[in-house]
Amino acid sequence: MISGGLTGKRIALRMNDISGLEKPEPESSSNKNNTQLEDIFDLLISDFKKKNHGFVFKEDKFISIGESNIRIVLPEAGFSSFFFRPFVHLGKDSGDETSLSILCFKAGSDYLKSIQQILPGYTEKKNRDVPFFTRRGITMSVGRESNTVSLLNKDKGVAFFLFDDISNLPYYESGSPFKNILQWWFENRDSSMIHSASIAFDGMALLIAGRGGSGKSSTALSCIMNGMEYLGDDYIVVNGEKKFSVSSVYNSIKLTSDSLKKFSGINKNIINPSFTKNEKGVAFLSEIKKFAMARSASLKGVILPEISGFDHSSFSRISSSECFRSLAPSTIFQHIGRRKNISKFIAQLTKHLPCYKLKAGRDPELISEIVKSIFKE
Amino acid sequence: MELTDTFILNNSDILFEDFDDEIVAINLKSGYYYSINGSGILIWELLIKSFSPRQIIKVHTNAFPGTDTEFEQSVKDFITGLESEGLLVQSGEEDKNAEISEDFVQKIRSENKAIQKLPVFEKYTDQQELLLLDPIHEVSDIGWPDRKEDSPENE
Repeated sequence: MISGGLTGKRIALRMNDISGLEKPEPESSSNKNNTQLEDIFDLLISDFKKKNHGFVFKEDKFISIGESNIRIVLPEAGFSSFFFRPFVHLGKDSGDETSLSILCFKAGSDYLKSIQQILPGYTEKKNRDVPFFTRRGITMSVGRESNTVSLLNKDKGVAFFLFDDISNLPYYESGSPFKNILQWWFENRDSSMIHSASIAFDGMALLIAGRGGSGKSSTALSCIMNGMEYLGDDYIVVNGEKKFSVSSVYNSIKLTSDSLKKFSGINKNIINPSFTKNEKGVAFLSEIKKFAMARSASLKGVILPEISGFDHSSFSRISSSECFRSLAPSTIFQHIGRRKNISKFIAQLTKHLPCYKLKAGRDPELISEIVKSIFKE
Repeated sequence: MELTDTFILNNSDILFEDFDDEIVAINLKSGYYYSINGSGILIWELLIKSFSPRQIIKVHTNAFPGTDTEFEQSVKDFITGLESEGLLVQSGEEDKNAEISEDFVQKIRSENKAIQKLPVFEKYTDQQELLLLDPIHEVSDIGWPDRKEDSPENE
């Protein structure tokens, strides 16, 4: 077992010690993974308790996503503008009955590399796979170029997010921080984090699914600007078996330059105003329409928008399988974890809920009227 | 491919979900996904239960008398297509003692008109480009699913 209180150099040595531990256990590689992940977790916990390596925490934030009360521990107050901004609508005053603690800290580059390098199969060589390792409730992934480590011990309800330099973190972390950790946390037989937008009206919610450019975000925004509530733009948590509910995760929204022309009032809220033609502008809805944010709602159905090019909008029912084809692949392909579970969950969801194709016209008010009529179906 | 061959799903990279009117198969490795329709639903279901094309053609012909050599050729083409897309791989030879029950034939005859039609599958490639990008470091600064401008199409 690794103990804390190590300098960066000594950690590298101790990591080699761990590698040595695997030799007497040739029976299975998964067993080897397990030993190392548990050791990494113990090392991080030990260093956290002893405040080694800059593991000095200065700010606690508390949020709730669905039934989960989550504590986010940040190294400095200044980091909350990056890591907490997307969760600000989910904030709560105290950490009562916390089920998950996310310990986020700035670690030295050498320390991060030491952790990454003891991973079985880890290689400096660039390839498409982001390593993830999971056994007995411990899951880990590495962002090689952003130099981050995400680790969740689900049984203990403790996660670590390590980074070395906030300026190296890509924009997507600012819109959806701790995404891998939250995906693993909410991955159960009856719950998943799904790639979809969602809006609510009178306590009921609709998912707005589809790939980039289908009009997902602008449909959601049309609804919000016309009296509906917002649950999320990219990722939401869905829970249930035959009846489902949606919980908000992030209040960020991403818009193409074309969508921003329709909603020009949002331009001043874009945090990356010089985004390129292949990128999108990111804004936080809670800063634009504070009272439009909802925390959760019962799920009524799924709509797949399609930009029609006309002024008016219309909708029609579609099959479960067509809905699955629009909702599942983008969620499954970008999930770093047990994809089969998510596929089953989305299949169940689309079989139990009505699914609609929305031909979204140019007029945001007419889009929202049509969506309201779907709510009333 | 021989009509007496049997097939299995091509390892853990393949997911599929069964809907009444369609099977949706997802190839996690390639990033392609597929809509399987018509008698393809029945053929898929029986193939992954280790029945051979010969046995499947026999049960279909029993259920829908009058199906002819056009159906046999379409089954061969369909299975060859699934193989070349990496969804199924050959696993061995048919168990000559394995039989598809008459009850099953009755069931498919009464429950699903679509399976009288020739087997077809449609391939979707719209997510493939995103799959081949590493979601941590190959996407643009804006994040998934916005791809980096200079990312290679295929490495």
